[in-house]
Amino acid sequence: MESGIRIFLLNLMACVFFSSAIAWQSPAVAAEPTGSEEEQLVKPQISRRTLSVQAIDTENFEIGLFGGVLSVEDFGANPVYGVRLAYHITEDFFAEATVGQTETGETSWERLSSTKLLTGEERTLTYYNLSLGYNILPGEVFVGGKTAFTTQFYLIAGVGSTRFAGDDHFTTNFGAGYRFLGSDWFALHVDVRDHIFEIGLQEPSRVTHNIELSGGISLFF
Amino acid sequence: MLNILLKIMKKSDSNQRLLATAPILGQPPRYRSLITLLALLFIAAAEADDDYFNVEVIDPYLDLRTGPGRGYPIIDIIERGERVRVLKRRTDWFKLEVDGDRPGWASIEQFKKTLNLAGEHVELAEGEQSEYTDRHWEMGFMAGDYAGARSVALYLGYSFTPEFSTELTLSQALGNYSSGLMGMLSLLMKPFPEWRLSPFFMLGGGAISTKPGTTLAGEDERLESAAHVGAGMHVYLTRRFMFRLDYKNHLLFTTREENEEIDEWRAGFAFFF
Repeated sequence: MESGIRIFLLNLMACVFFSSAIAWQSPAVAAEPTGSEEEQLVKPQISRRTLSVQAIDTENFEIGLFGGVLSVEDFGANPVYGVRLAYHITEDFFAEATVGQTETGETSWERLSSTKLLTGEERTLTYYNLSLGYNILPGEVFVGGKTAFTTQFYLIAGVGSTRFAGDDHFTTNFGAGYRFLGSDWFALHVDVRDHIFEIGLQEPSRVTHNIELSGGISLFF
Repeated sequence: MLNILLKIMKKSDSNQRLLATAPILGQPPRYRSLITLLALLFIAAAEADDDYFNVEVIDPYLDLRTGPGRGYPIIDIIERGERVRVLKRRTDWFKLEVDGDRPGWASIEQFKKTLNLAGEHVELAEGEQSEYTDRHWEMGFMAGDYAGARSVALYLGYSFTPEFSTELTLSQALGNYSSGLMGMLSLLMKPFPEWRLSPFFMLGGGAISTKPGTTLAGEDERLESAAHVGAGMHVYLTRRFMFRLDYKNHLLFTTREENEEIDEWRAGFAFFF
């Protein structure tokens, strides 16, 4: 008899403990009357209607790294690396911000005369671009008999600035690229870009075309 | 950001579910009903969350393409009454899945009229149908002429109401003999926000740091505050994408005897996000 009461009291304590634990952990759930299960199933649908649109995972941003070769007129072709951030505005258009850097080499004149035109710091070329891209040729590639990947061939052009030889130069760029989507959230890029800026190391200043070839990887989020 | 939060919530929901169900195995039978109830509550919550993405097609059919664009081929058709799972969205395309299989992309144009959840109409494209007046965040980049120098600008805008917005602009002016870096905060007023060609007026201020080029010897880098008035126009190309043209008249408060007045013309693209 005594043990029966003890078990009853223990049960009661356990119930009080558990219910207070629930109340502490999830006040919203505990606050609701523990009615029939139909009530519980109906209630979430009401809030679901307003949440449904925002709850869908949107993946319009793309962030990536790239590396390649940048040919700087007179200063040789050198390795270049950088980061890109893109926002896909519509299925056709995307905006892209890019930052890249390269260490330029010596001009032929510098090599022959063994005098230096630029100091070490001035020799580093850093650029940024704000560009608009257009996915002109969406497509698919087939690997084997069962696998297909979506791809996009795009044209891109923009404006920016290049810091080189101690000065900032207004820079326009244009080019084309190929985006290979390995999955919905991951892509490989191949890019060709011409960076055009005016350089005034010798008077009069002249327009230079600097071609960049790069490959990269990017993630959608 | 909201999606990430939701994902985390979803994850923690399933974790809680595990935590709640795990003790059942080792507990005496008398606690089971209570723990099962607790577990059921979490399962119900988790399933309700899962249902956000499950919808029923009510139009005669829906085209599914291999990629998020009209250029990709149609690989499947979803018929009326089929339940689909919305996996993700990219621009105006939704990735759907039927019966945990048959993935494909459907356009918002077809999809927004089609959806129904638990027998009730759902506007999936809520906020999409409304035009550009309902948008809050805007970003754009522009290029132009700043007192004979070339300028490049990047801005972030926020609309309080369809008529009033604020903008933070970072820009660089690149001249032959010097370059300047500017940070400006402006207030914009759009008297006709619903027009496709929508004019605006702006007023603001900020600071400009001017750095002499290597060809100019003996000049120092200087920092000046500035104010501006301006006007411009947005030309909406699509619901989220626009062309923008503006003019600003800057007044630089210099340490010299006279303040400097500068005209700036710019053109560029902007988008809502």
